Amino acid sequence: MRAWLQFLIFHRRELLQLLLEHIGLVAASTLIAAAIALPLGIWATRSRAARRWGIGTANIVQTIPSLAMFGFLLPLPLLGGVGASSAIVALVLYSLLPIMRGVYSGIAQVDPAVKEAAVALGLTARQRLWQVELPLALPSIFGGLRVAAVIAVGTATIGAAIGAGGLGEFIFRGLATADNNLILAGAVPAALLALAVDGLLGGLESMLARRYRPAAPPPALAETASGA
Amino acid sequence: MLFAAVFAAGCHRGPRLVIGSKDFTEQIVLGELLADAAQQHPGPPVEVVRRFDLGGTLICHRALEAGRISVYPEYTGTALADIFHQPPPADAAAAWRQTRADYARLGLRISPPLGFDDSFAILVRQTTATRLHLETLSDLARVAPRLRAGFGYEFMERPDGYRGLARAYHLHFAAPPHVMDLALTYMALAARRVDVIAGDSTAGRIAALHLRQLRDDRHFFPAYQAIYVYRPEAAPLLRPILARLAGRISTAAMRAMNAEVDVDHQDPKAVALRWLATLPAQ
Amino acid sequence: MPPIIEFAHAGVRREGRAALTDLNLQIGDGERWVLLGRSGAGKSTALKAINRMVETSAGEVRCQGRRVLDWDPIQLRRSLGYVIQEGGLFPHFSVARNIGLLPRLLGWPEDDTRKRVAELLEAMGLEPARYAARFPHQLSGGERQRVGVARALAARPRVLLLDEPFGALDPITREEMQTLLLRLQAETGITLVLVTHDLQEALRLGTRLALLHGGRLAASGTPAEVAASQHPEARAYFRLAHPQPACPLS
Repeated sequence: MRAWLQFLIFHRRELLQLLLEHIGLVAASTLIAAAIALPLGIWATRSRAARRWGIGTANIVQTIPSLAMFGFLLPLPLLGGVGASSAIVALVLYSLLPIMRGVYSGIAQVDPAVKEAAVALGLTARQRLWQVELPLALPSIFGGLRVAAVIAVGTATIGAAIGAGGLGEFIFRGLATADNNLILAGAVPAALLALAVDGLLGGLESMLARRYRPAAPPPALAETASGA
Repeated sequence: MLFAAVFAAGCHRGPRLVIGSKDFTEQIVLGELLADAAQQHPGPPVEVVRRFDLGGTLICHRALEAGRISVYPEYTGTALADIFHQPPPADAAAAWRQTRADYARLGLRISPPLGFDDSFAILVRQTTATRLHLETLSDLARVAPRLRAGFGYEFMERPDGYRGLARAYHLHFAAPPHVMDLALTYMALAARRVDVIAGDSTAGRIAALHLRQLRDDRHFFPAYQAIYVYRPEAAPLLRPILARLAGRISTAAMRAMNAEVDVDHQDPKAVALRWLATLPAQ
Repeated sequence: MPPIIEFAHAGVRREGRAALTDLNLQIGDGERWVLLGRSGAGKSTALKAINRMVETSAGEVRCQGRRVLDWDPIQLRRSLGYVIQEGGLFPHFSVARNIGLLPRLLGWPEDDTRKRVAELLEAMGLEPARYAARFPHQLSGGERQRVGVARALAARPRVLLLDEPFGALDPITREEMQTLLLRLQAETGITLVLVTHDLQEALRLGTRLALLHGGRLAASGTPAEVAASQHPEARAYFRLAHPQPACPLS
């Protein structure tokens, strides 16, 4: 333990740089994934076909092993290649499902009476979305973002396999040289980062939930997550 | 199981041979080669037990020392570096002699070199080699500033990897090498995302992906000659069989066998038997 | 005076079956109509056909002399107040914001909106200073329903549609709400169209009843006319009412 801490202190600059790279990978991919998954999730609440195809595709993407995914991405122009871009694309693809689910189930679970009232009051579809459905779905959307970001912190370590840097670099180097200090220097900060991200977004989520407190006891979020 | 694995020729009708291997294709093919050669050997039928896919170097070594296996394939450079913690010499003959001496101190024996070398191989696309007239690593050093490199983590970390190589040949690429997963470096090379990688000299993919290995004209890479390491009890049985194989497995032959398993997904046993059929009988 | 709302041979098909068939009704300005019937009778469907929450598939519905299909649905809904059973208040909006939503969407000056909210809270018996900033989950069921009515009245509609508005309330609160609604109607002369399955409520609130059965009109007219109807559904309903000592006709 002590030797390991000394090792960390000795490598603190490198550690800091890899940590920042790691945060960059997670932040970039989660933001891009949110920008894609938000409209997809909304669309899924409007169309049965979008729901089946969108969530189905995201589900399949989720099961592709990351090395295989990098193999597909390598030859792609613009998106792929060696380095951060392929890693970010892969992370974005992995993050789509949890975010889409959060958006979809958040909107699907808005009290039908509230939705009916919004129609009956004469709100346009856009006003219903922005003033009623999205604000009420916000805690669930944040829940999805939180899951996506925490998964991304873990998955981003594999980015080192395609030259994207991040804490995975310590892990890969440690594995290549059977150096436990190096492996732990990557794995432990990654785990701590996951906890930090989870705590941060969790705090934000409960803040939002307090602000937009539902009238009834909070609906169970997971139930209709992949509902028909 | 434990009992069955112990080399105990005296207690059984025929001699018994427990063959181990590490956990990658080439090792399994080499294990099969030896197993099939032993079964084809004239004389009393040999009872061959296969203990393949055991794991890494140290696991195989310990199994051999403990007598759980009688023999397994190894490489001189690997044995010297990872088991005996000595800097492997670049001269192949010197490395073999040193390996034999080190093993002898543990009471173990080694075969003559099988004929091929499994070392790091600096690889480029054949088209690149033709266009830039690349034959050797010295040729590469000349044009390196125009090329992009992608290397695996092990190659970047080992003293006999990138750092030493760059020093030995004054290599300077266009940018610091991309560090990535070894398997992905092959794909990146084929996809023209990088121009130079460090692979395995016997990798089946070298032919399949139309790659060329550049010759190490300054003999920087240590020798990683393939050998079999065995227990002395197995010597009477193994010596004639090993003599039949020694020096016969060329790098090209090993590459081809690896490709048949890795690229064409054939059964290692079938691949081994086919190659043995090309050998003259004793 | 032409009817403010008129059903002419109106029919609605929902999920492949007829929810409403050949409905003819003329709702005059300032009248209090109750659409009465058991569940599944088509009364809610008829109500929703007025503000195009459901679309007619046969005949037509007119609102203020114009076919509802010729209205922009958003404009149509904004010109009609609508109250639903559980209030349907927006849980993330304060009471004041719930009530002021439609005036704001219509672009009323902020001051007018604020005054209107206070005036409505007052009219609903909710002290503005105490209630304006509260959120729906901080209200009792009756208070929520008062806010629901206030919200529906915010933009001064000429017609108020109510879909089983008091069904979920306890009898005492329900009675208070009925009294409140009658008082409001008397003060403003607004046209009421209220859906209920409860004959007592219908008789208390309605100047006109329309009894629906199986998606068709069984009887309509004044309470007395419906009570006198020989239609089996009307008989069934009023037989139920019979044991009561008196019909509190208003």
